[in-house]
Amino acid sequence: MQITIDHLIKNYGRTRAVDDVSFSFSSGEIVGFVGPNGAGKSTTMRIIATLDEPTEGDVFLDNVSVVQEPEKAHRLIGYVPDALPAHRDISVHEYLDFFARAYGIAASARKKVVESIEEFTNLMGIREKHVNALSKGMKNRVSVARALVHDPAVLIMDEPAAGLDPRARIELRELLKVLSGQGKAILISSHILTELAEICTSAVIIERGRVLRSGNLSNILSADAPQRAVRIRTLDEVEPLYKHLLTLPNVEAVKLVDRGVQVEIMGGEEACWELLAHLVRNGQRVVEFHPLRVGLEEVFMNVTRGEVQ
Amino acid sequence: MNAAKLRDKMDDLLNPIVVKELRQVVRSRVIMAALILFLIVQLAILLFNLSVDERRGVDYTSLHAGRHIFTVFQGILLGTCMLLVPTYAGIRLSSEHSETNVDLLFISTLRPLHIIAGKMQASVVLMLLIFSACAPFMTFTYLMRGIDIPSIVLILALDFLVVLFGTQAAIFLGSIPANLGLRLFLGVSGLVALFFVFLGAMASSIGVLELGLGSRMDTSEFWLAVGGVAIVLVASIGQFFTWSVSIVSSPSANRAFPSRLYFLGFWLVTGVVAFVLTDRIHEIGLFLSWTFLVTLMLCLQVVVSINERQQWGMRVLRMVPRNRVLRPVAFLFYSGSAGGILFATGMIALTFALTYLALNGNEFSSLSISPYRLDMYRREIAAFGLIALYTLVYCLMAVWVRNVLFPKLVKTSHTWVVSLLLFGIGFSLPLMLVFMFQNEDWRMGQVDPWWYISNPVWTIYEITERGGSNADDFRVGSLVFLSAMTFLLLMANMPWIVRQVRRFRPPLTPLAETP
Repeated sequence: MQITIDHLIKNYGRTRAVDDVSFSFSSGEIVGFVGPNGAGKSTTMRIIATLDEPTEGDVFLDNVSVVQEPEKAHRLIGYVPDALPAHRDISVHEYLDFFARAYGIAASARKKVVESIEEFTNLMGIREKHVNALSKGMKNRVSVARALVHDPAVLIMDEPAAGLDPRARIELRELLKVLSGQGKAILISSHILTELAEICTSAVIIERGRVLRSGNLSNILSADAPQRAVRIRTLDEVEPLYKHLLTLPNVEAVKLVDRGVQVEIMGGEEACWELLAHLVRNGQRVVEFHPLRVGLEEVFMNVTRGEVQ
Repeated sequence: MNAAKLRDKMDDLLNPIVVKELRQVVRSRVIMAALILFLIVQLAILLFNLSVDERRGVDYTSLHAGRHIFTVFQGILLGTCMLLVPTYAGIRLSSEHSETNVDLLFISTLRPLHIIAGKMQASVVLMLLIFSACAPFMTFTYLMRGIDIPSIVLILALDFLVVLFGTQAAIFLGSIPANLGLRLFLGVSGLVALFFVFLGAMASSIGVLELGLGSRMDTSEFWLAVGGVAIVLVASIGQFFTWSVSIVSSPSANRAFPSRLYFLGFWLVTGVVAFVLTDRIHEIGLFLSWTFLVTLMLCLQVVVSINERQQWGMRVLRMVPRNRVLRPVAFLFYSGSAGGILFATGMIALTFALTYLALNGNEFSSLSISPYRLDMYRREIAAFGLIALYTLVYCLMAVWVRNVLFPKLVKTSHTWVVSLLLFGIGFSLPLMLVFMFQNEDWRMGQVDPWWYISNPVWTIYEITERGGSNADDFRVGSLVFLSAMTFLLLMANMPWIVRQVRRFRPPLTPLAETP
């Protein structure tokens, strides 16, 4: 399934919360939706989930428009909000059973479906507990289970890791990998960028309602590195290498690390190749030449200004 | 088909909301405590009444004892139901559908119609539970004389309808997405309204029991009146139902269409019922009750309409008729602020035209109304007219203020706040002006009523309570003045209305292209 966010605009009075947002992703992809608070992430996600109506633009799930046919879109989308809405006097099992009924799953199949979801999300042990009595992590699992109950093709997850302890975060990460492996298209927003970078295949960076970067994660990371770090180790003495590197034009900084050096050079992969070629031509016996990957956090800090609307 | 398959089939037919709500009800400590308390109070009151009456020397062989106790039980039943069922249903829906927290059930494949119907059905089950708990006590009163079984059944049936009405009204209030402050305001207003409905229902049933219900049951007029009341109640429940469905529908949907269409049906059916009853029972007050009821509903529609959308998404636009004759009709019925205001204004005008014709024409000539009563009716109609005109004036003024004076400051959805502020100014300003500039006349109670023309409460009081030719002049004058104001404000808002009319057209391409 192809999910296309097509020139989305959302105004609240005179404030433009979402400003011409466009990107797309497809089945099996996990897309990290990143931006400072108030950037328009939740509004965009609520529009995709049909909870809000855009002022302009549309979202297409293959050829189903969420604006024109929200009822059809409901079947295709599973939405995980940042907090599970309050439900008094209802157990986890009853809650999931209710949503299975609400999605029209027939009685003959419902029991099996709910139980398999409970097993998949590791809720079997707490299925008789009241939803309101659960911890944040448990509620989060219930929320994911609820979103999966009708086996949607698309999962929209708004800050699912917020407030979770390390164990719950790891479990969520593993769950997302499994879901992605099952072919679900996942859009996930989070402020924990290091974790997002580990599981996402693509990313969208948004600020003040505008998309700043979007696309394949490795492309974003390489494109947004004006300078890159390379770790070099040779079989020769480190000191002469250190001094020699400092004389080279593209080299910004050099520091001694472990049994080698870490060099910061201006430019992309071309500059890396030139440096390696230069060292080899100079007779350096290079045994390790390892460009260090720039993290999502660095890219995020580079492209955003931390402005809110 | 074996038993398991049949059970599954039956299970599939159940509304999921009903299943969930009932599961929650049986687990709710509040509901269980209320039910137990309800039974204890009934038992205690029965024992207390019997013991006190015995000490007073009440003769239980008299014909009134059963009726007396029945009325007490009815008060407890109606009071409990009116307090518990609507409040429970309203609060639950309100917490699920607030401005900040839209429950995920609204993005399931359940249709808004099923959501509201489910809430209502669950409430009906709860009501049946309470009514059935009360039934043995009420039937017991039959043995004490003074009341017969048909009267008990009839009053219980009407009470059931009244509670159903209260519950649907509470569901309507609960479905309004609002912040905590507004929710509290709506909740308190709803409770006050329910209290008055409770008082009205109690007073009516006590009145008809005093007159002797059983002896009137074999007359056609009696059943016409009962049928009329039932039809109006059911139709009102339906109106609140369609309004609730509209509110919980997707914002991009044509939300107003079903409720406006239903209102037209409601207006016609209840109008015909009122006309027939007035003609048969010879009581023109019934027709005026219809005027009052639909006027209030239309005023509510005006208040809602000023907050509605001014432009439409593709979902609505693609349903706009391409036929140029049908399009203006669709404009009045489809979601949209200007269309809603014009629809309600037109219906208000039509309602009063019909009421005027009914009162002054030959329709009810056989009723031989005395000049005194005719004057009283005219004052009442004028009061209803003033309510409608004041609503229109303040709402249209709010739209103008929002569009012209504060276009950047006021959100469309908050126009009602502006109208409330204007009402507040119009209400209090004359009082201050009179106090400052007409102090002497004010002390003597001789202030010219025109000083208070912007104050609806004072003006309505003037025309309903004061007599004499001056009062008649003021009545006509105030109606003419407010009608002129309404017309002027409509003209002032005409560019805004015209802009919406121009925007209301089907897209050039039938459907948006999928990328």
